[in-house]
Amino acid sequence: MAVLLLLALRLKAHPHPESAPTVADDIDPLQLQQDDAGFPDRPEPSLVGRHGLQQLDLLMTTLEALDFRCGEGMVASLQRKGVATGAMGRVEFWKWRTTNPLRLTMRRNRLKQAQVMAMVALVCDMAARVYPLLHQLVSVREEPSVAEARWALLTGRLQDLIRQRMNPKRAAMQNFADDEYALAMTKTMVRTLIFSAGPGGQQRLLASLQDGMRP
Amino acid sequence: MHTIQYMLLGCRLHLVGQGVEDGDNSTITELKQFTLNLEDHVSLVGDRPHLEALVETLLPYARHIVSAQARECKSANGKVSITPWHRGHRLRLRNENGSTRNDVQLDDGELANMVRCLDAVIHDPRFQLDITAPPMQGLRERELLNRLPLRRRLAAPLGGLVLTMALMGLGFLIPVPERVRVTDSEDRQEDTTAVETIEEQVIPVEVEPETETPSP
Repeated sequence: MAVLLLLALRLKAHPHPESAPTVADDIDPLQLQQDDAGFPDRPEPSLVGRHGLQQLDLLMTTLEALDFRCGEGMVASLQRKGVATGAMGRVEFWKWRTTNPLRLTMRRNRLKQAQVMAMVALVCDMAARVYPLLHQLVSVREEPSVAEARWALLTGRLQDLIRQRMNPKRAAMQNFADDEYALAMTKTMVRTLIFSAGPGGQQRLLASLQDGMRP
Repeated sequence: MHTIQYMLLGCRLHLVGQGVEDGDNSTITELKQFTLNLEDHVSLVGDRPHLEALVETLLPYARHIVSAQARECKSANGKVSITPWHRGHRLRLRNENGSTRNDVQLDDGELANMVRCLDAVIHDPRFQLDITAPPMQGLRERELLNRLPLRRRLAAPLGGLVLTMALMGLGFLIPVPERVRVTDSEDRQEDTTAVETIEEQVIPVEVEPETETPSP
């Protein structure tokens, strides 16, 4: 009875109370989606998997082995483009790259889709810049001895960078100590880079990073 | 007639067609002919269907190379096909009748030049023809045949099979209690004894009535 009395008093105080939204009400589905997207705890679906993150970082490392200025160039390029994913600096870029599970110091945070897209665009852009070098390496018209020397130099640089940055306990990285394996991997990376160069390469590279994710 | 030219290292793609003249920004709305020269040793000439077939074939082929899964690609109209060939690639062009017109051997560098020229055509706002790159997706797990070596691919199923067989063998080694085989006659005997015992239980037992002792 007391509860009923209280309810009656409340209704008298607010003769036309605002009805609370119910499931049956017509809610704009678009608005609902926007609210959901803004919810901080909702994880964004990942654009690339573990293999994709490894591949992306290894491609960047190969670019650095090709040209030592590429590392600085990538940071400068990101700053110039003004990526909409937050303040961009050398440290922030390093944090992105340490999502590679093969890294010596690895971070378990997930990259946003915009960050992955920015990295893909960066790799394609840098590959376009070093395209003449890549072309020299893969062209069969080059003198075989000169080509071998170039491959050996690039493989040595890549092995050094991997020894410095990657986790030596990982089997994939231990294999890099073998010169033959390292040469084969370097050739694969260079082939990937040359066919990913330029604006049209972004689509191809992103698709390859998503390998094995389709059911 | 308007022309647009794309040059990349040794590759030169020359488009001729009708369009709008606007100085350097002249556009092509109808393609008459294209010429593709590769380091002066290959020259391909064709019209719009051939260009479409090249885009339809070379771009997916390049996409598979990026995944280290090079495989043969053919255009829908059968004019162009490309396949891995020794250390390079073999581009095969056919005429309207379907007979082979030209076979071109390419290395990775020449193919990459061609692909980049085709990319440039597709993304160029001056080229106003409806030719787009085919959609590209990640490969399925079963399509990634060569990524893992045969040993690693077979290790898991073979290991599972060996483990199952070993467990089954161990299971046979565990002694099982012997089963006593009961004959029919023994069964009957057991049945009758059971009935007898039940009957025995049913037999009423006569109890002598207690005699009251006289109280002192």
